[in-house]
Amino acid sequence: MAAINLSGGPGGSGGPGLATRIYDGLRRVPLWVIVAIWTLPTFSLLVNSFRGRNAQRNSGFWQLPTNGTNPDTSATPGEAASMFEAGPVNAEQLTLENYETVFSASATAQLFQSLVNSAAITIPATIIPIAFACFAAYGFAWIDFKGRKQLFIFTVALLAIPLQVALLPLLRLYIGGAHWTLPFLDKTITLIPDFDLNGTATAVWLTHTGFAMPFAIFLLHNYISGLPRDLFESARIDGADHFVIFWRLVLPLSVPVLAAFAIFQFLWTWNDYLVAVTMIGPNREAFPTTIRIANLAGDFGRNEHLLPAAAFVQAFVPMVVFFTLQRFFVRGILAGSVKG
Amino acid sequence: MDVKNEVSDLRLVPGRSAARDRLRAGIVNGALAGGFFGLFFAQGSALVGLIAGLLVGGGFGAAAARLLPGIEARYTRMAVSAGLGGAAGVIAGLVLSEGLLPALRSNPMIAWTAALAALGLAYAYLRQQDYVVPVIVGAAVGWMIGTLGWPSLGNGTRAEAIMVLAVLGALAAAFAVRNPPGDGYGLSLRPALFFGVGVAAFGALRFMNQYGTDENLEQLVTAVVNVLIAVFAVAALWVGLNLLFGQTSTNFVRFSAVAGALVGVVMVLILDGNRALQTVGPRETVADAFDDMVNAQHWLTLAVLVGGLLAFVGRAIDRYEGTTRYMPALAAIGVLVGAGYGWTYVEDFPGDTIINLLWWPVIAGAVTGLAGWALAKTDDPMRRLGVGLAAGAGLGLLFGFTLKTRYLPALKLVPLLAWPIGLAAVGAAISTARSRMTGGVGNPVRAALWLALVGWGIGAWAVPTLGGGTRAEGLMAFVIPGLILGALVGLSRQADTVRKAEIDQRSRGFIFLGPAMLFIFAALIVPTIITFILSFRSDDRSAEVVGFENYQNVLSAESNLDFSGWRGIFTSNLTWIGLVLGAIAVTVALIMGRQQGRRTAFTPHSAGMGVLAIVLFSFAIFTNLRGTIINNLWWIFGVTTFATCFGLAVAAWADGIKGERVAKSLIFMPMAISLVGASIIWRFMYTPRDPSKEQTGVMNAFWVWLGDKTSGASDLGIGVFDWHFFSLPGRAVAVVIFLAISAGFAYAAWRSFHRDGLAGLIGFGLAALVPLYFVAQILFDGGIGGLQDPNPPGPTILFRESGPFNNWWLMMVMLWIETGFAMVILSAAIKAVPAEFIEAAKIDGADDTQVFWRIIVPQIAPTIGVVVTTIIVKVTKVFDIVKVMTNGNFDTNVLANEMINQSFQFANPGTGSTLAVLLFLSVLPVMVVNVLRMQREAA
Repeated sequence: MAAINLSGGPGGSGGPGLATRIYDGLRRVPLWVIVAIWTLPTFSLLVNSFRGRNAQRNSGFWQLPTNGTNPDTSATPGEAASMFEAGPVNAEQLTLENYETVFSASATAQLFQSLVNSAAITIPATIIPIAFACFAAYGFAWIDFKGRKQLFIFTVALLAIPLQVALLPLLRLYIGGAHWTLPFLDKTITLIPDFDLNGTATAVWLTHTGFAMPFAIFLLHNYISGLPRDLFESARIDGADHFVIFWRLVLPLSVPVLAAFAIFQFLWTWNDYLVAVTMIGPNREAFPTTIRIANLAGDFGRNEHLLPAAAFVQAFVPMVVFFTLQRFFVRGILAGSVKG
Repeated sequence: MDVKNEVSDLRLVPGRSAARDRLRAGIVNGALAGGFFGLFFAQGSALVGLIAGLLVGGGFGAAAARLLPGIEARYTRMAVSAGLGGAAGVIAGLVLSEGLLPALRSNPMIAWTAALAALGLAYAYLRQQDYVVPVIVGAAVGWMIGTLGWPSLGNGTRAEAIMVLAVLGALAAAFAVRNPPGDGYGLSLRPALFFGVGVAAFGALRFMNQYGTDENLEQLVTAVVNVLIAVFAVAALWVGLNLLFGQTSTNFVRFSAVAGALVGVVMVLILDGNRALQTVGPRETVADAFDDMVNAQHWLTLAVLVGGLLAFVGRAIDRYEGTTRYMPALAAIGVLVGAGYGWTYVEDFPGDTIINLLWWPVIAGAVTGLAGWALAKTDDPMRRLGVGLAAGAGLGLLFGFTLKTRYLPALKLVPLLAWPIGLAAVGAAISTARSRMTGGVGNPVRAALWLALVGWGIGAWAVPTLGGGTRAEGLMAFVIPGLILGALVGLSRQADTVRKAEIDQRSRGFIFLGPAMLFIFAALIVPTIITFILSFRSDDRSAEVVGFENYQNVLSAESNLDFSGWRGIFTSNLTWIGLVLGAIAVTVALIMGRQQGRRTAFTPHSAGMGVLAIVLFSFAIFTNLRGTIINNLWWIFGVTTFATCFGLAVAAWADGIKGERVAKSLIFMPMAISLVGASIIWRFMYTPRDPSKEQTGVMNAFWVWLGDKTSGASDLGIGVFDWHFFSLPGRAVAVVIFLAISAGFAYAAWRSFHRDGLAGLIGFGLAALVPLYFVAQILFDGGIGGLQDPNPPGPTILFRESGPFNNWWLMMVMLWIETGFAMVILSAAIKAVPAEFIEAAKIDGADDTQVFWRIIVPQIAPTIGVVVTTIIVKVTKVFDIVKVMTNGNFDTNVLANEMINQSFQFANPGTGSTLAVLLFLSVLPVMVVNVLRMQREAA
């Protein structure tokens, strides 16, 4: 089945002769077949996004617009061109029209606005949890107070709560604020006033901030508590208080883990659909990209040809992060894989 | 955590010969930039542009990689590089598409370039570092914004385009070689990253010019400003608190005054949050006055305000850094930003809000702040008491006068006196008793006062009706507790050194943990408790307590659990094939166990058969018992099993192969795409069309093609473009291929019989039968794939609509994503297996297969556990895929989707909460295992 290549030739048979090289070459074939299958869906979406409405509706992506023929008439039964029999490619017919349309303000897609909305959710939802979690992680790791360990274990245990459980009460909080009716006295105290957050980006990033907290604290605490103790003691002898130590020592030293968490959280919130769709509801003005493309997929028919372009724009940002910051990306995904 | 560090090495450029890598990086960077430019921004055909761009860019990259590392002198190097970049820019300008020619305007061009270059200079000054690089970066970004972002594109001349791009190219290229040639010189693909950032910035500006309406832009600015305000406010509050409590031991008077003022402000904010204070009177007048001021001299006001604020921040930084440069620099930046912002967007300035929050808090803060200052100054008990009482009375008067009329309490004498006096007596008694029993020194007066305060709260505010009282009653209800509180504060002793250090120490715990705990409390703990409570209440408005009725309804609903099809399990082919396979596997294991003197002996072959049998049998169950909960179980079982197995197979197979990194990152890539995006991608894969027309979905196209070829309807004409390579009857080719596969399995069976015994023979022997079955189908049933009548073309598959296997096609999306995840983690674990183990096994004569099953799999078993639990949790909560693919129609509903629908679509909070709790309970065991493991790992 699987072959493990170690120290010279595989199978332990002889040196790297011709047979070994052929074997190595053959071993690569199935891998690249799998890679091709795994890449095909994304690739087909990318190609389709550059094809016009008619081309998309009448032929598969492997038939780039063929030279001079109208796809409408060429598709006769029996002679249907198959995936492996594409005609000559005419690249002139690849078009940016779909992208122009999804970005134009008049179109139903209105992708520009939702990109702005996505950014308005993602940026605070990344920065604020990092800051708060970093404070808390330092507090748990290096500040002495009663019940520190118990509180930390409790915080990490909250990872087990799936976010679905908190959605409905949170939405009610954003709609009307939080009020507490005193038992037996029938008097109501406003704990959190109604800030009119229903259907806003603020509600979404506040929610993300809350949900990110246990995991972020856990991840950063792992790292910060592992910093050498001597560092802190010598700083304390020099008269530095916690704030100075945090600011001057811990923050600069924690950049790698902060970056990993930042990328994880960024992708999580950029790709999020569940929180956005519950907190934003029907407010079209505030739709982030995920809701926008999901809705576009919902009204099938008229605008289906815009879907590949819109979906690709949505995926473009995370893809850029993926291909440029892959090292941090993998770290973040792995670290974040345990998130509840 | 080692596993995670191991994996992080998915880079594109592995280190080999430095010169070769440098050349390669240069070509990749150049070609990427050129190709991107050619594809999107050049004249004429996109394809031609792409190819030409790749070639030209690659050429420039190669030239730079060859030329630049040889030049030692920094500025010469940068100049040569700038020359190359400028030349590339000229070429780019020559071929820039007509629609993009920028019509330059001198003002923004000069202003932006100069401003950002100056910002770079300021940055270098603050960081006290070399100024060349920041200035170049600033100038380049400014130039880009000023020339490409600001003016209208498409109205300029070619000369302007050449100028813009040449300068930009020169600046970027000079920046790229700022560092001297060293070990890593020219190896990184970082220029590609910078290029990407540049393109993104440019693209964003173009989008704004072209697609953004004024509303959009305004919205963007508002969003950015809101984020900045939020971040700055939080940061300022947090840093401020730290600075404040840092002063307890150095400057207690100031600490006391500021802390006192804060207490007053917070008290007002709490009352104001409850809408208890009047908004008439001086407040609106002052707000109006302030508004007028803002509107009349807005940019000046804002410049002073922002400048002052940043100067304050700068001074704080200076104090900690021991420097003097931050305050003037930040003040200057603040003045510029404030003036600039005020110039453009002042109408949005929330003057009202600020004043409404400002007026009462200022007075209360002044009162308590003064008290704090006075208390810190004096040790004399009588004076302290006097200060406390005065401040308490002052606050009481303020609140009493400003309380809204509808909150004035109608006091009743008996409870008003009985509650505080009674509770005070109780407090004094308890305190005395405690000091007697423990022998310590109690303070009955303090205890009595505290409980009297509570008693007054109940007697004056809780018992009587609010709104019926007079202003005098309101004053009394506030002044008396103010006096009690003041007395309590005044009776306290002056803090000594130990106490001050204690305040300092204790406060830090709260400051560092406070924000996070607040969010956890408000967004996680309380909502979860409320959801639990709601799940025991009815769906309608009355929200009566109904006990377990919701749970009963959910679990007994036919749409959630439908056992009516249980008879189908016994007639399903899956069941019988699964049972036969399982029986064979167990029999073989028993026979081999007897040979080896053990009860059972499972080899990979018989174990594989067993797993396959379980999968088939469980699929038989899941396809016949239906409903939301069954679907969820099917998802958990199907996705987890297959994703883990595929991931393990790919990880093991790819290990050590040339091109491993690229292959792995391509398989891992779906992790970057949102679940919504992935679902859309797969919808297109699954699209069915009328069989008489050409298919547009890949899956159905393949299906139809397969039927078309194997039924003998047409030749297997495989060709590219118009050129057919060969033309053979498809049936013959298919039969030959399947026979070859079968022969391959038969050979494997014969080999593994000699090596592994019976299990290998039977396992591979059964595998050899499957292709023969296809051959039989082709020869006797007319073919495989989409065929039947009419013949050809055959019927297409409704992947999303026709059940119950549409569930499986939905799972494919998750499988597509999670395979990469499993692969990356397991690959890291495989690489972490000590090489000695494997070498030792090889010396003993084990081959690759045996090494994998006997050494590697046992070694990475804990990691497999991690992968399985993680995927289970993710799959249990699956929502997006079902929502986008079918919205739960066609019998594909899952718990999370049903929960969202019930809670938000149908407004059934009780049922929705019940489903949420069920979801919680079903992930709980796995999450407990996960959390315990994490804590063990971390420890």
